Amino acid sequence: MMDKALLGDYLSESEQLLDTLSADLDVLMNRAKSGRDPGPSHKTGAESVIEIVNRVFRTVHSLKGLMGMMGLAEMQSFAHRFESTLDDLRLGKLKLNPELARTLQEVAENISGLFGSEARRLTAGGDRQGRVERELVRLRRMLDDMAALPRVLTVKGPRSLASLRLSAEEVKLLTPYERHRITENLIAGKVFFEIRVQFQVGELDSRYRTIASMLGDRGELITTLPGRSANPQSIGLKVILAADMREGELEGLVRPFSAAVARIGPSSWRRAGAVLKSAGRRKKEIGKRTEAQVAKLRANGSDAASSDTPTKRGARLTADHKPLPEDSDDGQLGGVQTVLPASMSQDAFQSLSQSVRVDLSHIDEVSGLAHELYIEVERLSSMAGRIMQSSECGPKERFDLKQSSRRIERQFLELEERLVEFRMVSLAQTFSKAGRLTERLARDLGKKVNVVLAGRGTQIDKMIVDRIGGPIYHVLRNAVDHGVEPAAERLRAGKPEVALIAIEAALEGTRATISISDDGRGIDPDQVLERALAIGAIAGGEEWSKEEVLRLIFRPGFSTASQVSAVSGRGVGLDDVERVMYDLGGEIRVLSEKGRGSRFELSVPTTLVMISAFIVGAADWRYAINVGQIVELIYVGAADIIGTDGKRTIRWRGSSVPLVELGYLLGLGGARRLTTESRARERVTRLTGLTAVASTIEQASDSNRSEWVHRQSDRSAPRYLPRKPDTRVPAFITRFADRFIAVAVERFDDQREIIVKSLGPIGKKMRGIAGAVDLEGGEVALVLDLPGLLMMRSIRL
Amino acid sequence: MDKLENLFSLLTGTKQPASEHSSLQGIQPPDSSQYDPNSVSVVLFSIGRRALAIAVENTEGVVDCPHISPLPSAPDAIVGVVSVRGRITLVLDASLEGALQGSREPSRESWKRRLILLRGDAQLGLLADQIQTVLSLGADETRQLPENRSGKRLLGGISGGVPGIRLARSYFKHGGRKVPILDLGLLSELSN
Repeated sequence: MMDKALLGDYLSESEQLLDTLSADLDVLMNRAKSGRDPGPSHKTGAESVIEIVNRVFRTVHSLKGLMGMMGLAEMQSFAHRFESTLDDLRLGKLKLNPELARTLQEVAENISGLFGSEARRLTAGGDRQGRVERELVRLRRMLDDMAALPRVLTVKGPRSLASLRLSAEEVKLLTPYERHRITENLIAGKVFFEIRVQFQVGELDSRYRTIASMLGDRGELITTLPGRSANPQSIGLKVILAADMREGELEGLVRPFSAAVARIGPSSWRRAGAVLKSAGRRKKEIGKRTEAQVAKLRANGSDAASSDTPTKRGARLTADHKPLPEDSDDGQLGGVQTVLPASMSQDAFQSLSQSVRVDLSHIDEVSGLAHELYIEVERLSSMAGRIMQSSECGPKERFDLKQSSRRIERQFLELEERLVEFRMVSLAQTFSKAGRLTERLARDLGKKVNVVLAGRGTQIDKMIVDRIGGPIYHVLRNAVDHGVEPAAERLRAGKPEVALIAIEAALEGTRATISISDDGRGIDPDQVLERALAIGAIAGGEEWSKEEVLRLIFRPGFSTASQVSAVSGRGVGLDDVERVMYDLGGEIRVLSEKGRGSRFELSVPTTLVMISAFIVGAADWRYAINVGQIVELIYVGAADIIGTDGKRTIRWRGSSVPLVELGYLLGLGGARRLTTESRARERVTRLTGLTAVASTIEQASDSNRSEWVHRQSDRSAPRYLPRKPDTRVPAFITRFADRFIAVAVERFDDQREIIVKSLGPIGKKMRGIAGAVDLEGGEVALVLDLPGLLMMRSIRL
Repeated sequence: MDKLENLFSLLTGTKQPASEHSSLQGIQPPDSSQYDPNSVSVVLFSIGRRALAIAVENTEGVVDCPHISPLPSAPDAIVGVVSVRGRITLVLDASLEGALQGSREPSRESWKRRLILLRGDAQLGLLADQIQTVLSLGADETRQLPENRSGKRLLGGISGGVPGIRLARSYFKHGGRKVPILDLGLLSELSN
């Protein structure tokens, strides 16, 4: 069994690589569609196709390695086959076009999905599901198809190569990829240079990295070959560069490295052709010798990949002195030291990204500590204030101390915010995937769709991003399957033949809204109502507003699709979508106009860790509630409560709203119905929206503090009994599914920004609790997940 | 400082000499000269009238139990949550697990107890009325709890109504009583 922490690292790295792969393939697709290659990035600022293909190749290569380390042999073989296709693309044997780019995207997506399933199986155990088996068959077929694509045989490579002044020994050391790049650069009319440098062994790494980076910015670094060195303490290198620059310019550039520059081509075909011919003969001989050497080494039982083999002139030099695998791209056998292609050797010096992976729980721990410190700092500031008052310090000292403590408080707040930002990731990957999925789905269904993405850079908590994908894809599937009409129908309706689907994200304070709109046929409210009556979701004879009717589509088992397709129409899902949204502390809204299209808005908090919370008191303890889940804060007088038995409700915004006690929801006693024994006539203070919270807090702090008695002996009795006629009950309105509910509490405290701390793995299983927060005086307040709590208790409402 | 004295530092979260710890919470360190490298050290503690134990290697320290906030919908044995050194910790009353008596409702004043912090990711702390001592048990002093036909573990021939039994795999005899040794794995898997 693999070490859990190690497996976690591998999975995390793989996830990152898959994200990079997906993003790069998107760019590649755009390039293939536009048919434009901006050329080398050092000139245009944008990456060239070959640069992207190279990165994709390396990413798949790294993934392949990770899969092997995780023991996922089958996945590794898929990655290897994928890598082979990418290699052919690098070598110019395959030509990039939109069709190939799409196939690459689909293969990558399949590999990603299967890898996810296999990784979950690795961590949770169990057998492969049938679906996974089918996906494996599909992927195998796709890879077979890709392998069967006709390859272009490049015959011009060696002839072009011969125009460079390279020794036979050097030529034979070039990999197929390097030869291909030389050819491409010669065709592009580039000038070739050799740059000879010598570095001390101790500074080889850093110096080489610097010069390679510098040269890479000005041209294409083709390869690095061993060069002459003046003494045993230094290593000589010969860098081959293809660029659009003069020799003198290059000399000036590399002068700080004491490098010698010489132009090496292009030269006459004949001379180089002869060189190549002889090189070919020698290579065969050397190849035979090498094979014999390797066989001998293996027979001797020694490690063929020994890194102790001295580097000779003409032999290649690995960047990290590690053997290449047998399937390495340059065709060298493992165990023989080689110089990596220039682009690859640069990578060997640098990791794929300039980032480190940190477990989210570690960030949470640090965030928690920072919050603790902030509380302590606040306390310290308050103490300092008191000491200042009682001591004899002068006005300047007082001013300085005050400024200093304020500065520290501010900095701690900033620290907390920065730590929360660590958890934030952009929606780019989710959106890209959603866009591709939509296009593919439309293609499968024979529909024409143009997908527009906006707000991809919107950043939200990784935990939310990981879970929001499902609801987004579900809504998109419905949009393509039910919303978008076939082209002929669209034309008849006077719409453009190609439908438009827009996926947008925007920040609204502490929440992000992801909207998915289409210009399809929209939702027919009459049809929805008819269907709802048919399945018994509603009773007949009731008045329904259009908004209420549209919300019926979130009822379990609801579907107006006349036919069940492979994509949607089984009535399974939108209720699940709504549940996931509630689990995330979000909600889903729908707007639709028959014949004009629909718009689904998925609203989620930007973070699950730092939230703006309202603190309330109930049954002796305090609780924190995400302000995003509070619609309105109110005070309810006894006279406003309707009903003595059965449902106890209040009138709110013209509707009858159930009234429950928070203690009841928490299972701590208290009733869902409030008593009406008080005859007081109280107005209901209605404060709309979050802007009213502050004023409500002030009111709450002034009054309504000690008017409640607890009936500890009777757990089912109401706990917050108003004893005086003028007593009011503090309550808040929250939304649960399509209903509003008033929840009475013992008292309102205040609103504050809090860091939500995890309750650990056992706590995660408990519904209705999102976490906990430290309050002053060592008290812990639970952070409530109101939708979860209400879902648990809704059956009794 | 020998190994056992280190254990006391670990349990009390202090660096005081072992002699001072004996006055703390009534812990009496065993004679270190009798320390057996193959033995297992357990913390013997009491909760209500029940004596329970847990291996020292599964603990991180002992603190005074702060105010407990109740946790709705938690497993029976979890009486609430506290914050210890900035970490939210679930407070577990092992005497409630498998006990026949009704659950207790926590109140602010009644928790003047100790909390044994457990190692691992589960963020658990064991509630204790009193930490009795740390014992070094030889390999032959611990016994596996027998199971009945339905796989329930037995202590003294019975399975139901024995506090903590569902959370233990082994026991040892101390002062004529059989003391279950709580198992960290079972504690961490606790659910409704």
